[in-house]
Order: sequence, then structure tokens, then C-alpha cells
Amino acid sequence: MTALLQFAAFVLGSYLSIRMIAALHGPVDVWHMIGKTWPRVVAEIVVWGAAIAVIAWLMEGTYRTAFFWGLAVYLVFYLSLLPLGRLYWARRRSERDID
Amino acid sequence: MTALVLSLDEVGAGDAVLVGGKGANLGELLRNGFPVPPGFVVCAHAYARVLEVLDLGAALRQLDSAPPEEIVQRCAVIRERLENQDLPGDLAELILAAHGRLIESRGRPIVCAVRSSATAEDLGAASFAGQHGTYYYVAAAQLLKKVRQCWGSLWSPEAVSYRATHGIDHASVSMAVVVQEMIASEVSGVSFTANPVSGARDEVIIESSWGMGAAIVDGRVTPDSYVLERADLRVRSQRVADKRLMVAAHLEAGQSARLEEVPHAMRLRESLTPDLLRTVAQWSLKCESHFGKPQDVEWAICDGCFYLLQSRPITVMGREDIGRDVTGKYVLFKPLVENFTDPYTPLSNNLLMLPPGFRSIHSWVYVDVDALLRLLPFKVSAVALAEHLYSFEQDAPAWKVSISKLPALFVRGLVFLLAIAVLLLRTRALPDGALDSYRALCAKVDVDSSMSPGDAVVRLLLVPKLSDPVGNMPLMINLAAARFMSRMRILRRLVRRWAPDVRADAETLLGSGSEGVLSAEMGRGIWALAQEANRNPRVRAMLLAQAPERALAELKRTPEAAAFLRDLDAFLAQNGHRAIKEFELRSPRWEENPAVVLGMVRNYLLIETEPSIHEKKATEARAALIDDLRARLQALPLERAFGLRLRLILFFAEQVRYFLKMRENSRFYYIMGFGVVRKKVLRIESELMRQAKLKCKDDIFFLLANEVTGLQTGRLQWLDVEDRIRERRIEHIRLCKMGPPKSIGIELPRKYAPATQHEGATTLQGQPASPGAFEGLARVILDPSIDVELAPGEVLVAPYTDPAWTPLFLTAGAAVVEVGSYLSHAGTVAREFGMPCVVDVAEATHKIRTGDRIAVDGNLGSVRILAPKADA
Repeated sequence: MTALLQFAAFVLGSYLSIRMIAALHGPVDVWHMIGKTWPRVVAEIVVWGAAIAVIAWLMEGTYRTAFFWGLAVYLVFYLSLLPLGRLYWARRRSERDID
Repeated sequence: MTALVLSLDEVGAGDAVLVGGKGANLGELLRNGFPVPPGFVVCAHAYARVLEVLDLGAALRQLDSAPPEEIVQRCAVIRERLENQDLPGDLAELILAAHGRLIESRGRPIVCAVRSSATAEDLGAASFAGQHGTYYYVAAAQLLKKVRQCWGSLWSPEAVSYRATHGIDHASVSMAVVVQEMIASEVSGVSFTANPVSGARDEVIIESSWGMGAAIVDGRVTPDSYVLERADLRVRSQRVADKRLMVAAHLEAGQSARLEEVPHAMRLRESLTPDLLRTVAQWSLKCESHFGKPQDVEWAICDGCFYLLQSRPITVMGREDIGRDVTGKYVLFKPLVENFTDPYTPLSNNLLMLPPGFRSIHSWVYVDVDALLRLLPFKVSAVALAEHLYSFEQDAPAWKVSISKLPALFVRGLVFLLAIAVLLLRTRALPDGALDSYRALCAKVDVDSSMSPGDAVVRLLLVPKLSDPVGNMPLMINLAAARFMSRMRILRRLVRRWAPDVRADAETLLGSGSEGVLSAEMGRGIWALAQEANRNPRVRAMLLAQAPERALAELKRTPEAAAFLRDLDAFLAQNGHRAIKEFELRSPRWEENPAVVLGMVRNYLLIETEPSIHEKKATEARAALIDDLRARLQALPLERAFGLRLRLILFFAEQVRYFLKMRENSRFYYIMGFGVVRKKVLRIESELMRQAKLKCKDDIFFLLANEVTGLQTGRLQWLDVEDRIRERRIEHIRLCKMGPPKSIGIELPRKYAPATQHEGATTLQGQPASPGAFEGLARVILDPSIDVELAPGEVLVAPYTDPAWTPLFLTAGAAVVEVGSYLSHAGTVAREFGMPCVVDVAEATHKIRTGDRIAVDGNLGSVRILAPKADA
């Protein structure tokens, strides 16, 4: 049961990581019209940031650790996507003898 | 004594070993009374003699055993010595004497064409296409040098690599050189004694244009085109092209480039008189009769006389041969087809890398069916999947889920979902204008001279930075916008469940009518320009009376046109990156050639209908539909009290509109990215032309990226790439004429093509793209910038459509298009305007003629030719 709950905490952490990253992109995504949309952008960051903080605060010991692992693993996965993409296209370019 | 130089009339078909395939062929024709320009051949023995004198025999023998990395280097040494060392005195004398006799026989100074004629040219499948040198306008002073360069071209890196690839022994090939009088042609062209595309043997195809034939063969001009009955040489059909450019036979003083503009009065004039047309056809058929096979004949007309420049068997590679060397199963992806009716040019194909799952075959974009099968959790055959991808109908097929595939696909799907999860959230509720940041990014990449076109492709289209706003990733937004399909499916289910008898196009109508769709805004912008032109009678008259290019020049000189030109500039600042066939880097953008926009403005001036009438009609229809739905739903439990069903339907309709708008607008922006890549390519082209490393506009698009770099760094020169460009242009034209096969490595059911006869009417089957039925006279339009007259209520019949065609939809009663799908431009616009539209009607522009009375059924996707033109 504990393992299952830990897994659930991990999944929840990953999910909130996705929401938080998306929310953090908000100001950049609408930067040129931020004057019009800042309440929504800020609200998303606050809501998802608060959700992470509250859930982490409510959780105990190993569940909290699993939750943080979920957050961190997705963050690392997400951050690795671009370098991987870059490597993939660089290989394609070299296969096609471009440059 | 072994012959070193022979007159052309001394050689025949059996002398290929001595004078090469080309020389033997021309000699054979000349000695049999064909009007071939006179000349002589420097025989292969002369080449052997030079090798001996230069002591290159050992170097050649060692080539085949040399390590691959050394071969090019060793060949370069051989080439350098062949090209730069003087010929043995006696040989040079023989060549110059033959040249002297040629001049004497003509009784006037002449220039010559010097053409390689390799003796290995007939080796099986090896065509040596474009590997060896050909030089035009060679004067006496340059003759020996050009002969040496022809020999040297046998050792160019490309020719060496070609032989290595085809397993041809380097030492086995030899080279003769044909020297002929250059014909200063007034008109020239090519003819085919069988249709090279369809293979039809009862037709003779003739293409002709002003000036020298090189421009036609290379595809730099669109020639006049004639299809003749083989039996009686009656003209079956003809198309007079707008011939804007020609290769002049004579250079004016101070002129260095031969490609020049055709005088305005000649552009739309037929280049061949009926008599000359007959002469060309007769000589072409005589060639076929002599060689016993269908021929591809190059010819020229000078002072009213016909000259035969080359005759060779037609090497017809039909559609069925395309991709024969490709393993796997591929099918055209319908939603993309209308963007790629022509194959990519080599540079575009090389630079614009396709995402996984797609493959370029002969420069057309195909979907890899096997790869997709591995990714889908369904029990579905390759044929069924290919059929669905090709037809891409609204309704998703009911395939069974494959349990055994599920675990692996679940993992893959999860990883994919996690990879795009943030993107999906970021694109859930973007404000209009979220993509505007891309314009700034494009401007930044444009001015960054350290970025090559390849770098620009990666930065603008493929790999964004982590800190980029989502608006900088139009391609990713396009991917995210695919959610409209699932939303549309839900919408359809809801509507059909709760109001099964509502009008057939209810979901389509509910999903249309978004504000802020940039393609629609663009159409309104052109309409606004037309309104501005209408306000000033002089501007209106200029636009209507002249071709757009001339009108533009005149408008610039007219003070009254200042307001119109200001509006035009403002329009171009927003939309200048658009183009006809805009996915191709070679296509000029509107900002480079605003005359195209003026052509569209002119189309609007010619019609009376205001676009807002169509929009208003669609808005009213949508409002009536919602009222109808409300009334029907009220019969269901609790709907009168809460209206939840209608709200749910309207919610999903809103979602469909949002994601469809996102899809349309993302396309608008990444075409902007293509525009930046094109600008970078054009800058390089301009520099290479300044350095005389390229000779003609657009040649650069027939090179590969590494060849362009080679020219930039000096690794390659014009002579290295000239023939490659020429051959690729020819191949490109051939493929354009042929069109892509729908599938490769897989046989699609034949339900798409055949025309059927029923109750005296021919029925063509296509795919429904916009519902409704309409009957009217057909108007076949091939080019919206030339054929602009479409009377109200006529049916537009087109090979494809893109934004340049939109004004024609305003007056059309219905549209029939040869390519496309439900998602294509024609379907989208027709649905917006509430007119029936059928797409994917094979060869519609050939089978339907202007003036035929036809009935278009946009519900069934069929077109019936009720009465051909004569009876209509």
C-alpha cells in the first residue's frame, strides 16, 4: 500500500511539475501582450506554485520524497528534450550533408 | 592511320566506340539527309593519344585499386593536366583545320557548340546525365581549350563518383568531342513522338519558345505547348504560355547575360505558325521512323529553316517506376498534397528536413505507412491505413484495437504525451496575436549573417530555445492544433446523437466563422486594396488595362496612386512573406514581386460580389442552425430548464474554431520562416552571381546545400555545377509534368480515379470537401494570375488552390479541384463561403473543358459532365 501511495505521490509530483512549468512559461508566451493578460498568467503561477507547496507541506516523509522525485524527474525529462532534439536534428543535418 | 578528327557526315550509328553515342547519332542523322547543323568530331583516339603524350596511362590503371579517399584527389590531378596542358601540335592543327573547313563551308564567321560524347554512354543503365561538359558560343580562339575541358570533365569528382557508384571501370571510358555550328535560333523547342508522361502513342507533343532552346530544356521558361494527333497532325490541344524570358541568340553590345526579357508584344504570341508546327512534327516523326523508337527531339528554327539538334529515344519513366528502388510502403498525405503539387527543388528538399514518419521520394512528401502502423494501436492493414491517409475523410474509420500492441504503445504514448504535455497546456488558451513574437525572431535571424540557411531552418522551424515564447514555435503550435480533430469528432457525436436529422453540414458550419484567421484577414486586405483602387478611376483603369507588372511600374509613376501604393506597402508589411506555392523556397514572395498581389486585386475589381456577402450568408446560416438545434434539443429531458446539451455543443464548436484558427495562423507564421530562409539563399545567390560562380537566377535552387557551400568556399566552380543544374532542372520539369504517384510499394484500391458513364453523362469521382449541390458551366483555370475571368455562377475547375485563388471563389457557384482533402484550402474557403466543393478529382482540368455544363455534388463528392461544350 505504501509503495502504491508513494507511486501516486510521484505521479502527482510529475503532474504538478508539468502544470508549474507550463505556468512559468506563461509570462514568456504572452510577453508582448502581458499588459492585457497578466492576471491569468500570474494566477496560474500562484495557483500551481501554491498547490505544490501545500501538497508538499501536507505530505509526510517518504511520500513527500516521492512527490519531490516526481517533480524533479519530470523537470529533468523536460529540460533534456531540447538538447535531445538539437542532437537529433544535428545528426539529420550531417546525414544530409548540410553545411 | 587511326582517325583523330572526322567530319560529322563521315560517321554513323555504328561508330559509337569511335565518336561516342552523341556523335554517332548526329552523324547518322546528317548522312541520312536530316537537317543537322554541320560539324566535326574529335574522336576518342585523339583523347587516347593525349593521355599517352601526357603519360597518364599508369595513373589511370592505378585508379581502380586506389583507396577511395584518394580517388578524387588523383582524378583532380588527371583533370588538371588534361585541361591545362597544350595539345600535341599535329592534333591541334587537325582540329583547327576541321574548324577552318567548317567556317569555309558556311561562308561566314560562326561560333560553335562543343559537346562531350563519352564512348561509355551506352553502358546499360548508366546515363552519365549531366556529368560531362557542354559549351556554347565557342569562338575559334577558345576551341582547343573547350575540347580539353570536355576531356577534363570525364575526371570531375561527380563523374568519378558516378562511375564508382555504377561500377564502371575508370580506365574503360573514353571521350570524343562534337563540334557543331551554333544555330542562332529565333524559335526553338523540344518535341516528343509519344507522350512522355502518359505514354500515349497517338500524340505528338511539341513545346516551343522564343530564342535558344536551353531556356526550355532547363525549365527557365514555360513554353507554348501543343498536343497533335499523330495520324493527321491536327492540333488536339494547345496552350500559349506567358513567355517572359528567352535566351538570346545574339548578344547586344555591352550585354553579358544571354537570358533576357521577351518583348512585351511577343510574350503571349504563339511562337510557332501552323506551318512550322507541322514541319516540326513531320521531322520528329521522321526521326522516330528512322530509329524505330519514339524520340525526344531538340530542334531550332533559324531564318524560317528547321534544324535538328538532337534526337534520342524517349526514356519514359512512368509514375509506376517512381520509387521502384525504394523499399517500404508510402502514401501521399492528403492534407499536405495541395501544398506539394510540384516536387521540391533539390535545395528545398535538402534543407527542409521532414519530421520522422515522413519521407521525401523524388522530392515529393510521403507518409511512411509501416512506421505509422507500428505507432497505431489498431488491427489495421497497411492498405486500409494508406487508404485512410490518402482520402483523409472527416469520419474516423472504425478499426479494432490490437490488445497485443497495447503495452508497448502505452509506454510510447506516455513518453510522447509527457514530451508534449507542457506544449499542450501552453497552447490551451492563447490570445490572438500570440504568434507575433515570431515576426521579431524572423527579423533577428534574417539580419544575423553568421546563420546559414540551414541554421535558420533549425532555429526558426525545428528546435526552439527553452526560453522562447510558444509563439516562436509555429510548427509546434501546428502540432498542438491537431486537437481540433478530436474536438470535431466529439462535436459530431454530440450533434448526431441529440439532433440526428439536423442539416448534413451542421458540424462544419458550427466550426467555421472564427474571427482573427489570418488567411481570411489577408483576403479582406486584398479586398480593401481593391476598394481603394475603385475610389480612384485612374488606378482602377491601370490595374484593369495592363498586366500586373506593367501596372505596378506605371502606378509608381502616377501621383494619384500614392494612397493605393501606401496601402499596398502596409499590406505587404503584414503579408509579404506569402507566395504562390509558398512551401517551396524557390517561389518568389509577394514582397519581392508585388505584381502577384496586384493580380489578385485585379480579380476583385473584375467581380461585383463583395466578400462580406458570403461571410454574412454563412453567419446567418450558423445562427439559423443554432436556433434549429435549440428547438430540436428542447424536446429532450431537462434541456428546456438548463440547456446543457446546447451549451456542450457550443463549447466544443468553440474549441473546434479555436484550434482550427490556431492551425491556420501557425501556417501563416511558419511560411514567414520559409521566407527568411529564402532571403538567406537569395543573398548567397546574389554573391555567387557577382563572382560569376552562378549564371542564372534560380540556379541555386537546383544545387544541394553542400554544393552551395562548395561554391562559396571555392571548392567548386561554375563548370563543376553547370551540367548538374541543367540535368536537375530537366528532371524537375519532368516530375512536375508527371505528378506524384499516390502510393509507393502499396496498391491503393482504384475507387479514386475512374470516370464512369451513366445515363449519357460522364461522372468523375472525388472527395466531398464542402456540402451542397450546384449545376452550371465549367471554367477551367490553370493559373490565377493569368486566367482571371470567372463569370458569376460558373464552376471553378482548378488543378490546386492556395490563397491567390481566393478571389475567384467569390463569384464561383462551386469548385472542383484536382488535389486536396477536406482540410485543403479549397475546402476551407468553400465551406466559409457556403458553396459546394469537390476535391481530389483526378485530371479534372483535362476531363472537364471550359463551357461544359456540369453538376457538382459536394455531399457525394461527384462531378457529372451533363453536356460537353458544343452542346451546352
